[in-house]
Amino acid sequence: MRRVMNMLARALGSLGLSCCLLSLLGLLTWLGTLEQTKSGLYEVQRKYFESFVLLHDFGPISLPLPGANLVLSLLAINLIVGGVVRIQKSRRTAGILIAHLGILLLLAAGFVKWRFSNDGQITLYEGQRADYFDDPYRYELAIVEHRESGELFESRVPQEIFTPAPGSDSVRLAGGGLPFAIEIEHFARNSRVMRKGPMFEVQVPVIDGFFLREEAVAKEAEANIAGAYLKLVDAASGEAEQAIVWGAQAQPWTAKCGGRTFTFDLRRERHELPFAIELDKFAKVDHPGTGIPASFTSDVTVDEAGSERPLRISMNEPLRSQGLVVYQASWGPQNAGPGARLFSTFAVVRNPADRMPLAACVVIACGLLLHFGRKLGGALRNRAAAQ
Amino acid sequence: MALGLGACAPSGEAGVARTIAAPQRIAGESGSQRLFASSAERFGMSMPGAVTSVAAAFEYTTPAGWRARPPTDMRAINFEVGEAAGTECYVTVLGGDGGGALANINCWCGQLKAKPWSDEQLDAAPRLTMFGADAVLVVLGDEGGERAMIGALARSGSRTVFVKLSGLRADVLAQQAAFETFCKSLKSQA
Repeated sequence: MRRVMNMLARALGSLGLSCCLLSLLGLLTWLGTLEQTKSGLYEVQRKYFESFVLLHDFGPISLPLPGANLVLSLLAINLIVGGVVRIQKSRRTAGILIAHLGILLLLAAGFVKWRFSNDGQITLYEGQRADYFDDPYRYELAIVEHRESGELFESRVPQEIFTPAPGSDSVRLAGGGLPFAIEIEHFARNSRVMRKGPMFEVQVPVIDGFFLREEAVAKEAEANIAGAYLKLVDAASGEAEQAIVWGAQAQPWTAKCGGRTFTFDLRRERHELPFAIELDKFAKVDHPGTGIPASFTSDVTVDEAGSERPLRISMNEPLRSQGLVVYQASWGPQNAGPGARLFSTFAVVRNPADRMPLAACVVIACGLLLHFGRKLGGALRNRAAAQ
Repeated sequence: MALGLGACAPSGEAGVARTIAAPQRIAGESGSQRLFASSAERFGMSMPGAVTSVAAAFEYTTPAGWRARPPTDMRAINFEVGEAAGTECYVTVLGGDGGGALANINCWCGQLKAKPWSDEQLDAAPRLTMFGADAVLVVLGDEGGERAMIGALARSGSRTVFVKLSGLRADVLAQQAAFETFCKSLKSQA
């Protein structure tokens, strides 16, 4: 048993395994880069770099490959076993050990980012205020009861719950003490709502003269607008009512059931902020004689627990507060003429490991400085001794 | 923070309902959203990506052999024409003057790699009646003589309507009479 454990430890901690894993990472990076020209950044990130196993199409043949999650997990084990536990510990290897610990910290930062972070964006015109950000890639179904007292009670159904399983075209949702069941049909990741004209036929229901047309999934994942047909089935009477819910609808669909009023909104997945942010002024400075922006800044007021403070958010100067980072991302509309009202778009990242990569790089740098500093010192001493 | 996330893992069995989590009270007031909005209000023309087909706002006579296709973002009315694949006719509606007649004709010239038109050529171009007004009739061909295009453009109220027939030269010219009949049949219902 001890011999087996030793063999396993030697294998797991071997330099050969390190080289194989790093080569696999290089291969994944290359294949993912090529795939991105067809599928877009978001899909490639999920398929190649946030998975354990993937199928890559080599022409007509699909071959399984380990995903980056699996490769990096094995690399972490390899580094722990070979680079920390089994490495000979002395002053001579202290620098290498520190550098290895820095690399492990970097891998840990990546894991935390993958597992515990989320990001999205906020778009505000001057004078507008927001206390949440939207995930540009995921949708949710928000069911809100509007009570006569004016109170609002909300249930959110995440995309993975209302998306049909492969091979199925509908999903039934129920529960939460609601007086109805919901059937989601003809869900499309990308869709447009169109008015039905008299000169053509469609294969989906036409409701109030509108139908939902499925579109090809856009390469830029944030350009996709999800849509579906929602059938509301009264749990008491069995009566059903159907509507189109669409990710870019101006207003939610409203229905009454059991004497109660509910709205149904298919919207970008929403994440609350622990503070509110209001855009006071957006400023854009163009390169002289051009319409190309040289810089753009947003003067905002941040309201945290009733305490307001002014702040300027600009490129490379984000707002950091309570584990969130709010960056100045872009602006629009891009075809705005002189004097047009502009909006500012902020990228929001909730990443508990936000500062870990920087710390990891400092640790690695210290380790390498120590290691190569010792080598340099030794070489200089040897040369002095020889002279 | 409002939660209300669905708790159950998706079920793959038909007929088995997936669970909606219990609702949570959220901030805000009932009046902040428009209740009982109509479908037209929910999917208004001004919304990004929404296309309200104007096919329902026009009357027209479909020529024999023309097959209607669903409208698209830029094609309010859309046909496959004749027997040959790739010959198509469609109607585009743009607000205002749509950028101007000459600019649009020269855009078509650019697509066919034909010589751009001058103001004199525009003034001398034949006309037909569309929407009760003079519509410019444009016949263009590429330098190689392979492809051709016939277009007509006219104002209809506050919009400009462009009708375009394109495809292989022989097929397009064979449909010219049908194209002109179609253009003359276009009427606005508004």
